Amino acid sequence: MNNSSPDNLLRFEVKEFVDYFNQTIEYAYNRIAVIGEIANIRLRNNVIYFDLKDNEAKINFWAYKNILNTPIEDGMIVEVIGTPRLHPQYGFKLTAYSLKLIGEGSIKKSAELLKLKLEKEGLFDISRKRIIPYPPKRIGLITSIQSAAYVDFIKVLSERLGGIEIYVIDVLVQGDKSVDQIVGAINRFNNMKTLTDVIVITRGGGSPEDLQFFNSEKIVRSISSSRIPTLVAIGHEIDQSLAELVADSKASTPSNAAELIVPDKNTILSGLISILNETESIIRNKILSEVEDIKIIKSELNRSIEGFFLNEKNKIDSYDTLVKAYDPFLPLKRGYALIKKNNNYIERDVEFKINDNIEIELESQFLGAKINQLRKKNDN
Amino acid sequence: MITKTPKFNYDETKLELDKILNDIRMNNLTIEELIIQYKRANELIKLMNKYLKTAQNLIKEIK
Repeated sequence: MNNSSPDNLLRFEVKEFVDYFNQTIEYAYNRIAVIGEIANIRLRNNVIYFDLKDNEAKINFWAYKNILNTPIEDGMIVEVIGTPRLHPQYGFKLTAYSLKLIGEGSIKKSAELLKLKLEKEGLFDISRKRIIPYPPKRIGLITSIQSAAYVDFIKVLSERLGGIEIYVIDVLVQGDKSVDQIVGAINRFNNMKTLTDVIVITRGGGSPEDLQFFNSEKIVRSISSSRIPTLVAIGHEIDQSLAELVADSKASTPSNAAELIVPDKNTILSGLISILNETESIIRNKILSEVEDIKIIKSELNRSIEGFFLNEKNKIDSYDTLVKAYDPFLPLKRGYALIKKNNNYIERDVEFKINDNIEIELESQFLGAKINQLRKKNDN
Repeated sequence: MITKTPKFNYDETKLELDKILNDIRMNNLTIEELIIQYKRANELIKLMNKYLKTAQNLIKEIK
């Protein structure tokens, strides 16, 4: 640079001017935000080139591809944060560091483009959804602890069921930095020594611009690859974010998230009481039924026992009748007599002699007698 | 010396009674033998009746 010229003009070599210009402009406009419509997007290797334009002007931008959180295409309105620079070969360009979609139309269009892409990869398939342990013992919570969402979630959770370990990672839930913070939080939970049972990512409602970061490809892929089941709850009324679509479960609000993942202790209690009553009733009926059965069995047993005794009694009576029929003294009752000689009963014909002494046994008396006559029965 | 009374056995008693009746029916006994067996048969019937009564009473108590 030569500033000692008589006309007081600064004089530069070309490269010298480029450096001087960049130094000056960097000092004056280190980081600026420009809002405009995207036009003329080109991608070469990992570098993206595009223009921002309005009705009266157009500026060239370049950026590394990885600054893009969501797909972009010509016609979208965006806010680009970057630094203006004069390139020694290619002229004036802004180096973009971040890009944010502006307006519901652009946000929606970008989300649709990303949704189509991820759908083809199967990220939203129902078959990928995992079941969240119910109730979880440990919850990993990703939210802004300054937010009403955090307060609501914790309040509802505590009211419904106590004794759950909650690990919170405080993150921004909107703005450029929110994407990396949320992805970082998901990674931290996934790298914990003891994993939580679920990761809950939540925030309250907001404008499409505020909520657009939940359509970021980085967040969606991070949720999709989480080892831990995920639940995303973003307060909104109409469109669902891609983060909700890819999560294992979703809720409409932070409070609803708490309601979904833990049961209400009062409901559990009334359920238990109901089970207890039902069980008591079953046991009571069972006992009554058993008592009835026992009564029947007892009655049958008594009948059997009575039958047995009656049968045995009949048998004994039969024996008695039989035995009595053979009573050796029965003929005496009918007038017959038994005769004894020498104290022995005479059974059949024996030899008697005149003057033999015999004893005659009648029904009620014994008679002593002497044989005075002998005559054969067949003799006339 | 104390000797234990043999335990009454209902079924064995019935068998003995059957045997006595069978012997009587065979008609091979002398009158003396018949009288002895007749007395024994009556004793056995008494014992069985007594046993049955006792058993019935015991069951009534259990009820």
